[in-house]
Amino acid sequence: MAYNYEQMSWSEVRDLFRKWREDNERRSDDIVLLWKRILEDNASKLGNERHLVLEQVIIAAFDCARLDISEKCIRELSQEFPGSLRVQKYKAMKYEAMGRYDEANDVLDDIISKDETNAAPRKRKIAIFKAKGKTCEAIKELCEYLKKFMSDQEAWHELCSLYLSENEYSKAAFCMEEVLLHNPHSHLIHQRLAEIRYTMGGLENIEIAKSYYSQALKLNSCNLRALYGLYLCCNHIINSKASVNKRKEAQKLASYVLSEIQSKSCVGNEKAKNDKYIGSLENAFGNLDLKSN
Amino acid sequence: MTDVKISSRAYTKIILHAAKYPYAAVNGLLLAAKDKSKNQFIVDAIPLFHQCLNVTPMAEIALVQVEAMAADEGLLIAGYYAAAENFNDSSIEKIPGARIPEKIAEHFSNAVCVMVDNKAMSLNMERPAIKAWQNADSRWVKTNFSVDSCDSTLEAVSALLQKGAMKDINDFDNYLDNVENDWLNEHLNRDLKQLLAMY
Amino acid sequence: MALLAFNKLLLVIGFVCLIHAAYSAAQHRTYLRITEQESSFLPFDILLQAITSLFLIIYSLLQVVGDFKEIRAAVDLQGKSWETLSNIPSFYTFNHRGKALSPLYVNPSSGKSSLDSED
Repeated sequence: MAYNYEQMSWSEVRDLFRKWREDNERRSDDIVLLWKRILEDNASKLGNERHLVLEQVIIAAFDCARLDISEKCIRELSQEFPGSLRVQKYKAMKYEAMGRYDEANDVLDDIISKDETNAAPRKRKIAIFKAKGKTCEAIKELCEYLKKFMSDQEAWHELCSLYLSENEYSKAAFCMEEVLLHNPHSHLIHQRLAEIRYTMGGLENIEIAKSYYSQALKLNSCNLRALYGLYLCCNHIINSKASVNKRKEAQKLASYVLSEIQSKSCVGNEKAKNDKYIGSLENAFGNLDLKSN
Repeated sequence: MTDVKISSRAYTKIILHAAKYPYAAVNGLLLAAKDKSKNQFIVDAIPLFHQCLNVTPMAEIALVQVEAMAADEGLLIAGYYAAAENFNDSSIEKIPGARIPEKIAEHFSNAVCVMVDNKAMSLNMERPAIKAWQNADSRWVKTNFSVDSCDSTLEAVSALLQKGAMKDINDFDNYLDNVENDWLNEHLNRDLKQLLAMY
Repeated sequence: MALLAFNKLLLVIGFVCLIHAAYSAAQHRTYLRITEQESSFLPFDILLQAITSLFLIIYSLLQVVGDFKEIRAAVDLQGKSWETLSNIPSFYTFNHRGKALSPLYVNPSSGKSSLDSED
């Protein structure tokens, strides 16, 4: 997606920012660039949306380490909302971006003591552990947090990523299952659960991965990762000591999935090449097939 | 122990990939020529993932496909590169997705492992922003390396970063999200002067 | 836009029509009471007017308020990718390579500010 940043009007930029906010995209450098070039001078035209945009720009500026920009936006917000805890949080984040974690923690503790039900500063404290590279502490703190805020699916998601980075796959799978309960129709969650199960290994887990991949495909037949993953699972089952019936079924499914993959990758000009590389999968895993029989 | 030499094409791809996702850990594969000369020469790099490096299914798929592609061009998978999420991590112990280099080392005795040195990566690089290790007796030993025509490469890559060229590099994750994204990145396979002229 | 304006016009006409039908019905009832006739049915034309205007309102309202949402829950999520799903702003950390890629970054090893050579 190439936007021609030079020729955009301020209302187009506003719509783009809104789209990025709604789709939850992390395009920090673009946000900072567009803010500086176009939107900053037109901020007063934004109306009620201005505060949301300012928050968006503050975070993006931290992400790009442009503390000068975030400082300016925080000042504008704190002039309008003196004493707001939400603005206080951004001040803590500023310390965090500067690497002054102790000061950031002090500000966050202050916010929590004023409003115990506020989840955001607690989350920031966990992020600080992460930024320091202390994953184990972050996990411990996040588990504590989840005891209080059990239905926070973002936190479950984050806990899953943290466990994955520590290679604790069964715990990660548990967290993903929790996220799945919140979004039973998301093909991506099914796909991620399948990936975790597959990584854990063992025939039983591969079978579970196969069902999750199948469900992901049922929800979205265009999920290429699920197609590839299903193919891997089938090949594992073919080469395992599963019953003959199961192996035959997996064989059929594998050849179907491979043809699906090939037809899905038929777009673009790289068709011939892609086909060949996908064909190489058949060789690689097909060889295993010969050995085991 | 042999010295490792890294082509400017491989270096460019590694750095652009790391710069496209500055907030995430990224990884990829390094390809070397098949001939058994004494010095290792890393010809090309294939950017793989940035979304989650700790699950293996898609890595298996990528390894098979990259191997087939490398065999086509008379290359083989000779190493692994990665960049950690945390700014301070650039040691081999903190390498994300450590299973892949171990697997490569099983098949290729002198496998190379490259970590991006986050702190040295800037819009004006004065030294290569990477560190290299080589596998010896199933351990990773720090090794000397050189980037092909170092000064001009660094200058060109810095210029590319300033012009935002990292947006156009596609990794395997991008391909899996949309098959139209070409993980081979053929537009980056020209020499650096032509590349600079494109932006 | 023109279609939307047309549909809005239809909506207004529909409401006016319905109110008119209601008014006619009320008129009819008063007339019956005054003339002391016994009848529990409305005349056919008022009934027809009420029903037609009701359908007109239903149709134009559906056109005005916007598109339907897909009834299958999965369809909305099909367009999503991990890129946005795994992006959790409340857990962002800022201690990453973005710091080094900022034009304000001072390379610690060189000691020379990267600002010097900018532009």
